[in-house]
Amino acid sequence: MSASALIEVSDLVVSFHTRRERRRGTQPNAVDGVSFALRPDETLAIVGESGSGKTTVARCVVGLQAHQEGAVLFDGASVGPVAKRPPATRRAIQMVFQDPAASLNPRMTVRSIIAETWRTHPSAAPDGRSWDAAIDELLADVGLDAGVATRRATALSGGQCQRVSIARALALRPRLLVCDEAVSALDVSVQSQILRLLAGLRAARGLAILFITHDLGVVRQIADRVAVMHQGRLVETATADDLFERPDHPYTRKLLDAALDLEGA
Amino acid sequence: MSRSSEVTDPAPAEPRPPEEPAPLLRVEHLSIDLPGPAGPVRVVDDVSFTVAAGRTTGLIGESGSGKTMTATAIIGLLPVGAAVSGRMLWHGADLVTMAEQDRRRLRGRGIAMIFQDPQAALDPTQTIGRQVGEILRRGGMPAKEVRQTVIDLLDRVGVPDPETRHAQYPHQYSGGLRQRAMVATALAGSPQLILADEPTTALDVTVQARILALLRRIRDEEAMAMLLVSHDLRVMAHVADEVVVMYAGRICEVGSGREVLNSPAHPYTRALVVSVPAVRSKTAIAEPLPGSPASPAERPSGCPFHPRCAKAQDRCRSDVPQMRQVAAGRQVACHFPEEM
Ligand SMILES: Nc1ncnc2c1ncn2[C@@H]1O[C@H](COP(=O)(O)OP(=O)(O)OP(=O)(O)O)[C@@H](O)[C@H]1O
Ligand SMILES: Nc1ncnc2c1ncn2[C@@H]1O[C@H](COP(=O)(O)OP(=O)(O)O)[C@@H](O)[C@H]1O
Ligand code: SF4
Ligand SMILES: [Mg+2]
Ligand SMILES: [Mg+2]
Repeated sequence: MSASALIEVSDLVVSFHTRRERRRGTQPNAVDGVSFALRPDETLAIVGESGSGKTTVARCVVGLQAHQEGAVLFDGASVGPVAKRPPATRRAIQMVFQDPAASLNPRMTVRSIIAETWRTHPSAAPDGRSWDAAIDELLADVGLDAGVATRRATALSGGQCQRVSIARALALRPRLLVCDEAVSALDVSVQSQILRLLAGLRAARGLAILFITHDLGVVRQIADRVAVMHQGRLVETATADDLFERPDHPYTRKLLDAALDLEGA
Repeated sequence: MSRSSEVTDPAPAEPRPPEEPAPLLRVEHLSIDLPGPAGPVRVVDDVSFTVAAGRTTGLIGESGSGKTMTATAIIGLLPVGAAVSGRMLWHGADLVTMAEQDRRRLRGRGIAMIFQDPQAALDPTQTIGRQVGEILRRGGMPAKEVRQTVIDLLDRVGVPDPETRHAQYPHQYSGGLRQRAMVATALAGSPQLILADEPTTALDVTVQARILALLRRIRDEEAMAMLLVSHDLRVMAHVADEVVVMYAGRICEVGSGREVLNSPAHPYTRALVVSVPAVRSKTAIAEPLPGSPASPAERPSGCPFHPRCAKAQDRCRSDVPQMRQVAAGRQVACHFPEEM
């Protein structure tokens, strides 16, 4: 549709049911006709209840999940499973997963986890300076001290693991960052550091961000647009200002009503 | 409650006011050392707090501040090589010195834990139903009854279609559903104390509200005590009766949830409170604290928060601030607490 879109998802359908179950049509699809587009420097948040299909959409975008119908276009070209994507595309789309501990190799140190991404994608490796210094800098960006570099993922707390996976994704200087609950597990002080980092990268490098979160306060701070997902479909997509000030769909209103604020407790 | 007062309380001189029931668990001067590459690292340092029946104590703090280790020490599942000192009094018995087989018997029935990482805590090769019902089966409940109880539990925590879902495996659950399955597993043993480590972190607001309401209801109906570990101050403000704020393995502030979060006395608590993004009004991304969270391996001298504290004076760099009472029910470890 839009020529300026970095990523475009159209009529995406994903079902985890068998073909027979699907033909009978009684079982709902996990993702049921989702479309959206993202400009190169835009942040789109996807919100919605648990099981509504957010992670599944994200996994399709990064090529970790096959879809039955629809398409994912990157720079105007259709992209399939991650193994079949050209290295440049693979590098350009990075994801931070909902379960950070599960996505880090427990036998590797933090330093080797990051260095490995550069061995896989030499074009992203820092040139003209030591990898160790570059790693320390990346860790500092996400609020970790350099001492973490020599530790293994199993010796880190949940929030520390989460920041390592953000650093690993950013090490490849992606054009699209898919964040699945990437900051929800972090305390607010670190959270604001990472939100500022992401906002800065968006402005400086034109980083596009697909941001999945349950934290509507964070959405309000960083999203340009918000898509509300319910039972596999997008029920409302609007600019952040419109969504919070003038929610249209009853489900959006229900979500906003359920959100807690520190004030009024 | 009644059971605990028989054995625990050393000398309840006067009857306590109803809003301050006798603690079910009393943690006193708990310290935990974990083996590190350069010798043992003190990840929890001299931590004391109580959890009472029918009350929720909230543990707040930066990642790595020792919240999970504190909860893990209580449930008795610390990593190998961990050294624990201090006392953890449970019905008068010290968990620190209790025999492993007694601890095992307590686990799940007396004290249950909802783990932070449901992915790691659930066995991928077993159905959710089997894992939720494990403790019931071990207790000798007939299979048919176990099945029905599990379905009821899954329904209670908001897993849709539990009749079908109980037979599914963890990978077939979304992140939020796995977390709910963890809550069901913890509830299965009808424990007196639940240690909930970030139980609602990956949950959407509607399910979060449901789980919190559920935990609150069980707390009230069954006088269950809860130690809620969360970095989500909004959740804390709505659920915790008392809060304990930790930084770098130490406690910096203790008090009633509402008061601490409305008028924090410790500069660190204050920094946390002002960074919470609001939903009902648009706020700018907060100014992050300078520097990184202190790692317990390189805990700064004096007040561990001093390198990041805007109010730090010379004294903060040399003297460790001790906990002191600044108002009724409020203790703060800071040389220069905020005006409240
Ligand atoms: N590999 C799988 N096999 C079978 N069903 C799956 C699989 N992955 C996801 N599902 C189902 O697809 C639906 C959407 O899941 P998804 O993980 O995308 O939800 P989500 O919106 O990310 O939820 P949450 O907020 O809880 O993470 C859910 O009903 C889930 O149980
Ligand atoms: N298994 C382990 N081995 C060694 N160190 C650990 C282990 N688990 C946690 N730690 C360290 O102990 C400290 C406290 O961790 P934790 O209690 O998980 O923090 P929190 O739950 O507050 O985020 C951190 O410095 C963390 O890196
Ligand atoms: S003791 Fe000093 S450094 Fe520590 S919190 Fe108080 S004012 Fe800040
Ligand atoms: Mg998900
Ligand atoms: Mg933890």
